[in-house]
Amino acid sequence: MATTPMTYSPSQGAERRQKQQQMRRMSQELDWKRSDGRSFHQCRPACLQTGATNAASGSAYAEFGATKVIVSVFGPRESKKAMMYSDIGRLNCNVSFTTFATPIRGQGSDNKEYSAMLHKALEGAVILESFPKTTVDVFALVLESGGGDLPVIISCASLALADAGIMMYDLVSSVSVSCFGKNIVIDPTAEEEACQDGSLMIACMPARNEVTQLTLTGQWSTAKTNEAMELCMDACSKLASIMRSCLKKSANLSS
Amino acid sequence: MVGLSEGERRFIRGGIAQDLRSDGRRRLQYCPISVQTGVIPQANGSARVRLGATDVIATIKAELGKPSLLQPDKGKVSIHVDCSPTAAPMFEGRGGEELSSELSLALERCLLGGKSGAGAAIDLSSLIVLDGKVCWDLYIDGLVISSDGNLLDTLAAAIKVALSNTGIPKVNIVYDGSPDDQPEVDVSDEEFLQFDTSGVPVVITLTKVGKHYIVDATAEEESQMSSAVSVSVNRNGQICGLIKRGGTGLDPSVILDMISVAKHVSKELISMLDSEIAAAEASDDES
Repeated sequence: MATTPMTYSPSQGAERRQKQQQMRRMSQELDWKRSDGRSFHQCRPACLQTGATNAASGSAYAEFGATKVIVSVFGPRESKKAMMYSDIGRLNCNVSFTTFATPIRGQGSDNKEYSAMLHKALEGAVILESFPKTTVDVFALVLESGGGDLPVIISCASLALADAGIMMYDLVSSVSVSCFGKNIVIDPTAEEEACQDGSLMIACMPARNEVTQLTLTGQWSTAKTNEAMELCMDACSKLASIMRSCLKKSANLSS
Repeated sequence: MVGLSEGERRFIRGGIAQDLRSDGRRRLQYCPISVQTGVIPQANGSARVRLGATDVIATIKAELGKPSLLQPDKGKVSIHVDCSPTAAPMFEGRGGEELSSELSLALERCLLGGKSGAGAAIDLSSLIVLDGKVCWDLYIDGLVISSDGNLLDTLAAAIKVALSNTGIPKVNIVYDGSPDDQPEVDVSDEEFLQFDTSGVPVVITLTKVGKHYIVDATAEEESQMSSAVSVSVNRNGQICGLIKRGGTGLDPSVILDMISVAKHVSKELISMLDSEIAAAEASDDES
């Protein structure tokens, strides 16, 4: 006699919406606990590694919680013949998502703007005059998108550029915060991002204390913007020191 | 645009340092703005805004559609900007694509608010007709006819004016069958819903040249910029969006200073736009 097999049905539609609405209501309170147990001002543990791919001039792999990104840097190599002569170098950035990166297959391709934003974040840091007439290609691949994708991509790309030996003014580290009502929460996960009221992302060069890229969405008052910016700059400098120690470790291993 | 000589570049930079720009304006002064509404009668709402030599048209079309599965109680808005080759020959074909996508993205960020819908210029829940089945899809299209710098500000102002001119027809649900069927709807020709645009923010782009910021840069001044920050401010002085464009890094204190300057300038721009909208509405009523 055949028994009916045990099955499960993933919650979609009504149940998931209810959960989201419940989370939205809870997140407005001051003593809301985040789903992974972090406090409001605690970032995800950062795991960084250089030399992830062999063929590239430089590469890096970053894992921040559920967000996994791998970046390869090729160059400086000859610019395409179609491009005009230029006495400063060119930086070409491309961000792509794997089809299995998001919970719903193929949804990552909605974020076409990440390539342009990565370019803007890095162009202020790379010394383009050091490789005239040539192009440096930065290819980023998001293996799993677990929230806060763009900051992880930017930090990992600057680590890969350093690994490739491209001259830069400073490492670029990047952090984003979400705001839920009065609460400001750093380094949001994907489910926190889905019901946020606003977000602020900063990419900066901590040693020079310069912001290369800043984007803000949602409604913010000046005081909240101030607080969020200070929080982000502090987190960026701490992340940059982690990146530096990762580079030192890999340099010691190879020598 | 022809390249600038060293002398011209120094003239522009020196003028800005002395608070006297090439066309006689002060650093924080806007060009004369001229607004026309209802320029495209086939669209639900439209506006043409001229800010100095920059000329853009914004149109709003509303079509009935199905709300997304993830947010069945909200309508959908999509913003797209097209740079026409009449503005510059390099915009032909795919040349203007990079600029168009940058502008579309910046406008979406400023006007659509956070993921939960807080701070959005347009209340998406007001676009719903029948939960989960029928909603209005708003297509906001911007067209750049002539470009002399400061495209983002002009486009945002045009969208604000076009929204004030938009009428969404009232929809009556005739027959609501089983949950799987599409209900039949009757779109009325007579009654219209108007948007309340007092909450729509404006975008102020501050261009940093040397040590000073200018508002409403011309194309020549933009070529001399070190970086630019576009701030979207609404009537209550709250920041609805911020994007830093352009290469060089900026000190965070400089960014905060720019935000306060943008808030100060926004009051003037919002009152200018409001008076233009009121004048356009008055002339509409007369005709």
